[in-house]
Amino acid sequence: MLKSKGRGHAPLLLAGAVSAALVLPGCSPTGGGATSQSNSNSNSITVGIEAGSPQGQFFQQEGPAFTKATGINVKFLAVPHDNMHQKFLTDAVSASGAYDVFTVDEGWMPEFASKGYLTKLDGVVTANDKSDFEASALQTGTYKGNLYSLPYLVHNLVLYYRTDLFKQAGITQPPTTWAEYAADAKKLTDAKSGVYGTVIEGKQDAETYTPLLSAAQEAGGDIADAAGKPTFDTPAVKSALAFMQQVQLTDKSSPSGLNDLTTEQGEFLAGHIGMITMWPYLYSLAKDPSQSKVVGKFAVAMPPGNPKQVSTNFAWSFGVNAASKNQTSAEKFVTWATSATELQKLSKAQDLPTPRKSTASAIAADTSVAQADRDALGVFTKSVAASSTIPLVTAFPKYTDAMAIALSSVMSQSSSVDSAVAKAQQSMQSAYESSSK
Amino acid sequence: MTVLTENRRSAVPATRRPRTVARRRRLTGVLLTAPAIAALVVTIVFPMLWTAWLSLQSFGLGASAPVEFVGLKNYTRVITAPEFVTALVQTLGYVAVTLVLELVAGLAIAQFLRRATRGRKLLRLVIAIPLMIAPVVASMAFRFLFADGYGLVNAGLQLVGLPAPSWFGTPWFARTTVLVTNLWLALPFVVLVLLAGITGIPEELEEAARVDGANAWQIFFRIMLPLLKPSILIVLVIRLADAFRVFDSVYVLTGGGPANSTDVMSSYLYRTMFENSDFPGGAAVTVLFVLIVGAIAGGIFLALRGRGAEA
Repeated sequence: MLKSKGRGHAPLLLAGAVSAALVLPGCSPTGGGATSQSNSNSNSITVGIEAGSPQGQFFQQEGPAFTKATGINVKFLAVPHDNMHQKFLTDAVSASGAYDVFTVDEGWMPEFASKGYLTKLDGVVTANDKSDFEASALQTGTYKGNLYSLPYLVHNLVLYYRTDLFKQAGITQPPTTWAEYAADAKKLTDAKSGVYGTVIEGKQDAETYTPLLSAAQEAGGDIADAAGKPTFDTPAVKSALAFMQQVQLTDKSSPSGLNDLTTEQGEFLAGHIGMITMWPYLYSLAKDPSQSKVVGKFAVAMPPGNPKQVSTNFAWSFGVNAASKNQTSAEKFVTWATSATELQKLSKAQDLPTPRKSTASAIAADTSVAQADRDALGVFTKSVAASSTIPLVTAFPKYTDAMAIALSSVMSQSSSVDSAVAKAQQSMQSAYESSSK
Repeated sequence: MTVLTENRRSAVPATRRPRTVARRRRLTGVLLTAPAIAALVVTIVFPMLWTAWLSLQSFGLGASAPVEFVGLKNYTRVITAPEFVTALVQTLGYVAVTLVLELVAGLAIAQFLRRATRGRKLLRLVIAIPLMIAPVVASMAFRFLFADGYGLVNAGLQLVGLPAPSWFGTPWFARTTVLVTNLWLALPFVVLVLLAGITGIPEELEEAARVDGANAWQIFFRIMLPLLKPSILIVLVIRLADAFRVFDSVYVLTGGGPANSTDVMSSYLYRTMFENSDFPGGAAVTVLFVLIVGAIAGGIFLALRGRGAEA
């Protein structure tokens, strides 16, 4: 009898045990404890950086120096560029504080600041320090009068041109206007041998709106007014799109298809392109023989204008997660990473423009830096100083979507310039109104 | 009295025992399936109900942002957005075309593999290779294959004297790249399921039909196809849900462009939620998405099952 009773209950007990084993761990207080534990120690902070970014790698290498100077251990978590916004946003919404410091892309700084995900840094930065940053650089981390992030890189698109091809084509100076740019691109193009004068981007992705935004500013306009309200349906934007269309489709001075940043950069490094507008990071790649076929055959110059030789400034910064349990340590990291000493090291190591006046002048006078590199850094700095930044509004990510769609519509000839611009204006206006509610 | 008591003694355990055993069995069954049910509730039912609840609210992501019940307002906002309509129409178009192509090509390849004798095993292995490759990796490879300047596809076309189009530069060519990439990824599954179905059909039926004077088409449409209905149903239901979720190839190959011409529900949803941080709108899109996929999958299932039963 007992035997039979036992046999009857065994599967029942087994099932109960399996259920409990599967369900209970979810209720365990140790679930997700690794993050909490690492954060409970104020001598240790976690910094979210962009995976594969040379700047992220630089700060990772400098980590031990920070620990030595402050006694605070620092752990770097790399996040792919495309997932950074999503990953950091998820962390901020959950207020888990898994990251103490975020690498902040200027495009989504207003969103994070407006929702209280970033700690205000006004009290952390001294007046002396503030005055050492270029005003336009500090502006990139400022939202509604408060400072939320400190930039380690403020940069924009500058002109890279092939000195050898220019010489062959009898072009003596880099172009300073759109008309010169289009004419030079035409002269440099030899499609049969696979060489094109330039590359015009047109693919609908997260990056291609940047040349359009810059071109709108070069034409003396902008995509938004001082309050961030969209002003896309304007002659300046239309002329920018018409110019891009002319070079790509009429002159055929750019490889066919809808090009993107990767194609543009790759084709220039492969020696197939006469000139492009590109970010400062390309400079160190282009002079590296292991990655470039144009070593010693290129130079940089201010972007061409119509008539303004400007380009939109974009910044990469560090900001403190408002949910971080190590606020003081995180603030120390942000001020250390953007100090004159670290920024000078970064600028020298990677030929990047620096947002601090003291470091820019120190590098300009530093004879240990090659003259060509100092010249290039001078161009990067001058271009940033002459330019303004993006509209710092929470609707900006939606503006970028609308611009990417407009650009790809025009370049694929799916829409006319007028129709694409009107549609984008409508979409941006609706985004602005929703965000203002 | 004694007799009655004895009868009771013998009768009570006789009726109670089966009930107790049945109850125990039922309870055991419930407890054994409880982990799976708990997992389903935690990972599917609860998130779905939560998403449905979120879709009826208005809220920001700020710590102090107020939460407000807005009824169907998010749905109205989403349904009236031209981008949503574009993404929905393009998704439906993509799903219809890809399923037809997959079935036609899958049936042809399965038939070929059934007949091929030499190297049949090797061919089956080769055909299964795409199943082992992550969709995002395959999409990257196809991006290079279709590239304008250096792509293998255009090089091949030029070699035989055909014009090399700009695959990502025009809406229809861009749609073709997405379709071809997903066809390459999905075909192995379709072929293997259909091949299993075809192999299960007795060869005697085909021989008998041939003896009776049926031609190849008649054999295919009157014998093979009706008997393949269960396999086709499996392919349709699984691939339908899969095709609706298409994301990787769109994201990698075209980014939804040009001019939103390859934007699909998944890429629209991704943009709404994670680029524009519109979580209430995203929740409404998710609910609509689930309802649409559920209704279509259910319709196909009922239609084919019904016909299958009649047959």
